[in-house]
Amino acid sequence: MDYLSGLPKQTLRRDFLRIGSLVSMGLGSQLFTARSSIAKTSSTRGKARSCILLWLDGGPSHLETFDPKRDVPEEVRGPFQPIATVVPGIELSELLPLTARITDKLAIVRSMTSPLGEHGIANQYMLSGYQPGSPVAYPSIGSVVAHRRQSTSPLPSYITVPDARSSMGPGFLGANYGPFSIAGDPAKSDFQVKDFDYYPGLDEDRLNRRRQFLQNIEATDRALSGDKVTLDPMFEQAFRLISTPEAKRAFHLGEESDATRGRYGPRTFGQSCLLARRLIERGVGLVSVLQTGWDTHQNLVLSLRDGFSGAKVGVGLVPTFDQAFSALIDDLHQRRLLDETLVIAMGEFGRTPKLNTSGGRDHWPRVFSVVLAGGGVRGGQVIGASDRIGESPSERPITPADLVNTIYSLLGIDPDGELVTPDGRPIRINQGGQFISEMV
Amino acid sequence: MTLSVWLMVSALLVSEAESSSSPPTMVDFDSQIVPLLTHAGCNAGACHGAAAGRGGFQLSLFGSDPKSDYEAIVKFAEGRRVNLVGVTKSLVIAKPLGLLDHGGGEVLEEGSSSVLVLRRWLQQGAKRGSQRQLRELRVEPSESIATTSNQPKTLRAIATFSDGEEADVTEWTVFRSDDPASVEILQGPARAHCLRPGKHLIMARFWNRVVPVSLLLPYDSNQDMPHRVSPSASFVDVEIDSQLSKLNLAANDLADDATFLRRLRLDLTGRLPSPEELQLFLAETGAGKRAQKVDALLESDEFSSFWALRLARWFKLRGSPEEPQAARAYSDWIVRSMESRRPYNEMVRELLTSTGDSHVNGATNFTRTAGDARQHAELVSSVLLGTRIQCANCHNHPFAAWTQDDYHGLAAIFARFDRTRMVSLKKQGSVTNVRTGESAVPRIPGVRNLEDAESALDTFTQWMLDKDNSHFSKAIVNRLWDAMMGRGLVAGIDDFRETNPPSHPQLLDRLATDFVEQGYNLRHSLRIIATSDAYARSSNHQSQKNELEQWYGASTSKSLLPEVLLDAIEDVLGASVANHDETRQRAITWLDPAHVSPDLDALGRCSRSEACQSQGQQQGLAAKLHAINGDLFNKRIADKGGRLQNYLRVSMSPRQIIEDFYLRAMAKHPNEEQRSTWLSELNALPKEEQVRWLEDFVWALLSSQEFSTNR
Repeated sequence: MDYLSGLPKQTLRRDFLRIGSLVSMGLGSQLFTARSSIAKTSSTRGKARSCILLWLDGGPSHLETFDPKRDVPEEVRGPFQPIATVVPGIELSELLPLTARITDKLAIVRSMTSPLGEHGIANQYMLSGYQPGSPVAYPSIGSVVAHRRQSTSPLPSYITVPDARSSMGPGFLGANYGPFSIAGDPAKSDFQVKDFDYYPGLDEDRLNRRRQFLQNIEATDRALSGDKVTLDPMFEQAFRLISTPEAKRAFHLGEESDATRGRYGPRTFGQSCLLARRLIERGVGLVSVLQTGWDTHQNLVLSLRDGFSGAKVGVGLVPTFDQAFSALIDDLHQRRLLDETLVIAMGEFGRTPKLNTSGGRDHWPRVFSVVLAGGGVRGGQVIGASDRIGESPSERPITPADLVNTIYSLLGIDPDGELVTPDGRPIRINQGGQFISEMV
Repeated sequence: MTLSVWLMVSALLVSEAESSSSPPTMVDFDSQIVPLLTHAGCNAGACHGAAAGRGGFQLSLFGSDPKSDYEAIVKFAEGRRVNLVGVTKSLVIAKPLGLLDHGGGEVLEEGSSSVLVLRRWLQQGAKRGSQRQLRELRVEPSESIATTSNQPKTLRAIATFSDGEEADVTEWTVFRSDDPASVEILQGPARAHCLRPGKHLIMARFWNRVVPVSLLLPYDSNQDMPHRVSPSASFVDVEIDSQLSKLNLAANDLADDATFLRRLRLDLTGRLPSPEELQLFLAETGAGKRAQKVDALLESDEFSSFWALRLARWFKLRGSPEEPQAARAYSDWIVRSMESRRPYNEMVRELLTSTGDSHVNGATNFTRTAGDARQHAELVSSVLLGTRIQCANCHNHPFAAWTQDDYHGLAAIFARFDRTRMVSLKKQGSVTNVRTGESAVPRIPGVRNLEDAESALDTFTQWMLDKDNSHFSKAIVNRLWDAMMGRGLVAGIDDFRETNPPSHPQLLDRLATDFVEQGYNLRHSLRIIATSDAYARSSNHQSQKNELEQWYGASTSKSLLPEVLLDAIEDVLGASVANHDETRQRAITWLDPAHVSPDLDALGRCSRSEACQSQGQQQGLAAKLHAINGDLFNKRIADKGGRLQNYLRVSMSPRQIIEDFYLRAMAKHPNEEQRSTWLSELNALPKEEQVRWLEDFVWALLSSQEFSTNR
């Protein structure tokens, strides 16, 4: 008899191999039919199955993106002008011409407000809905999604492309709910995810044997300590992922047509957005796409529009975002995925209403903008407003806690639900936030 | 000193009736109005206490500067905030009542004591008053043990002012539970109610002072808790056991010899015991064998080498690629100091005062670790005092007693340093105190100004190393305790503050005093910890895992440092990859985290520029994928010069191979069941498959949690 399972050990090994191949074949097909879903409760209003969070790292200027100002002094307006969009009455910065064509699908919140103007803590507030400072390390949105998700997919529930910020971590939920960072550049022709392929000499049989051995050792160990878990769930997932080629195919951007790849733009952010679409198509719960460089203390023309000095066509932050974001929304819409996919574009705060002496703008959390689309969100609307010069909310102030509450609700996660810390403290998924009712 | 029931409420409520007979007491701005602003939250960081104020109205954070608050209220905004004729038209009262638009909403209620006091103050002419200060804030009870009935405890806050008056200020004190799920605060009168067993904290804030109050509710326990403090117990065990007893927790038995040896070896020398050493230790008899082992390891070179890494981590050593000589000199200095048993205070004296060529005189690199005087102040307070003083850069510290004057004053002490390769003290140097806009006066935080800038560094060093400076000795013994026990007596080794008190205050005191009495001897204090029962307990437990670990009734399992884990992997696998490089040293000798090592990166080492003090191994999916498909294990297991391939070459029996690897990795034999399962499975395989089977077996051993933790 096997000392672990009570099965005769001869059959254990064989059975195990059979289960292993079932995992790789069976789940592979299941992956594309029976998509995982987030547990729903009656009190939630969400219909979104997945979420793509475009994290504009550093704090994007609201005045040069979603809240441009007319009839204000140039030091406030900045170097760019507002333009009209497909929605009468809504104007965006001239740097967002493609986004202007899909504005009918966007809900633009212009009255976000927070007291936190330093990157680290502002990130944490926006990404968890909790202001840092208590002894509890709160989980980020993606980790809560991963925790609440009943997933049968070997793909991780929470993936960051290409990298994570430390504020995207699991907090007290622990490493099992942390993000999986692909740690590679999807725009590179030789892009592949590290350690996905078998080490030379390894194959599926040996992988299964290693898994079984490890399980044996852990089970004996845990039996001594009175713990029930047998194998680290992350090891379990790693074994399944490695032995499921269908799952790994999600990362093969080469399967997309040149036309599709081209629509998203050739740079890292665009191809990351395309990868995000492939991942949510395969049932990943939340994909966070990172665009760095938004901490624009200097020369907005160079950083936001041009990208490098003397650029003929702007390849700065906003044009790069504009192309990828509009392509993503269009693509999801055409594939009939937009209704079940919540897309959010946000950073940690806005920028000062007046240009500084370096032609840039500094941190400004008192008012800023975020944008939501899909996942049941009513498009073509602006929620809240900033004052004439974009300095304070003039109506409908919305806090990061409100926003995170709304994101959870739209994803079918009850914001009043409870999480439990390792030492047994109950913590509400969201505290002090209110659903933004205009959103649906 | 009289304890008057000072509270204006009562005074005011009766005053209407007797106003004709006795003159009303004057309301004092500093000690009455400012505390009520704190009580209502007006001067919190999220409101007018923000560095930039709010809505054009700025108060000092939590009323730390009543003079500027008085000016902000009475003089600024053309005096609109106070209207001595139409008192209710004063913005200071109309806004918080919600009579006028107020971003913060209605924070005061009509008819409340706060409003009565504010009105009275305005009626009396809005005078500044006595300018007395708060000398002490005391809460009764300051520590309480709940009985089984667990009735809510009534809380009283008593303030002592600089004019000698003592007053009950409970009504103007905000009580906040550190963890509302554990303790709830009930109002009218203020009471604290424990919801969960354990020791919990509440914070009482009056004016600009916060004091912690601890509440203890014993655990239910079915068994009769044997109180087993033996007469010969060390002071460590007396304190630990009496706390366990108060909490009604039954401690684990001591761990067996093999578990103890592995734990001790890893903690003191950062390496696993060899099978030979283990056999010898198990064979030894005699009651003192564990203590003898502790002594022997503390005397070893391996101890000096490993604890040099710990010190380097604490001192935040980090080399720059342009000047490898500097990091080398610094590393050498730390290693030599450990080997020569230099007392800790002497080491620190050198760190604080050394000048000269940083490529030669290693200790000067402490100064260079900081980029400027402010960072130097933060480094010194974090490393040597265990305190995060950063917050006081921009405003007085909200949770600790540090003021901006403390912060900039400490920075001023280090302002004369030239931090280039030749570290020297310039004739002059200053930092600006952002509060005053003027040059900061050098200052020992919370103690006194050092008017003579020339001698400030020496005076400060003297103060730091004075045997009565318990901040210094507590900070280091807490680090030692944290390293050995998995968690500091003060949780967070650089987070000493009033509002984060130690779990065992007397024990921390004793350890600190003992450390100083014994000549700042690191080995001595480590010996005290390592020979205690608290250190030697088993980590196995069926229930109350967290509680037992929290109170040291069970050993806490610690992740191995990445450097230690890498060395352990190579030791078990026969240092295969490394052996091909003659100059290769053990990973624990790379004190500089800038040392290039993809293996350590894969194991999740900390760059040390970031604040990751409790550096563990990399967790999550990426780390597991690498364990399965990466070089870390696979390359070393398959290496022709490695242990496994050597054993196979000399035709060692599979049984011996399995035993040997178990002993090396886990410091124990497989149990009977495991052994027979492994062997019968192995024996059923053809010879060439056995090799791969054994490779997979070794892989699984090293991938297990048991291997990569010290427990």
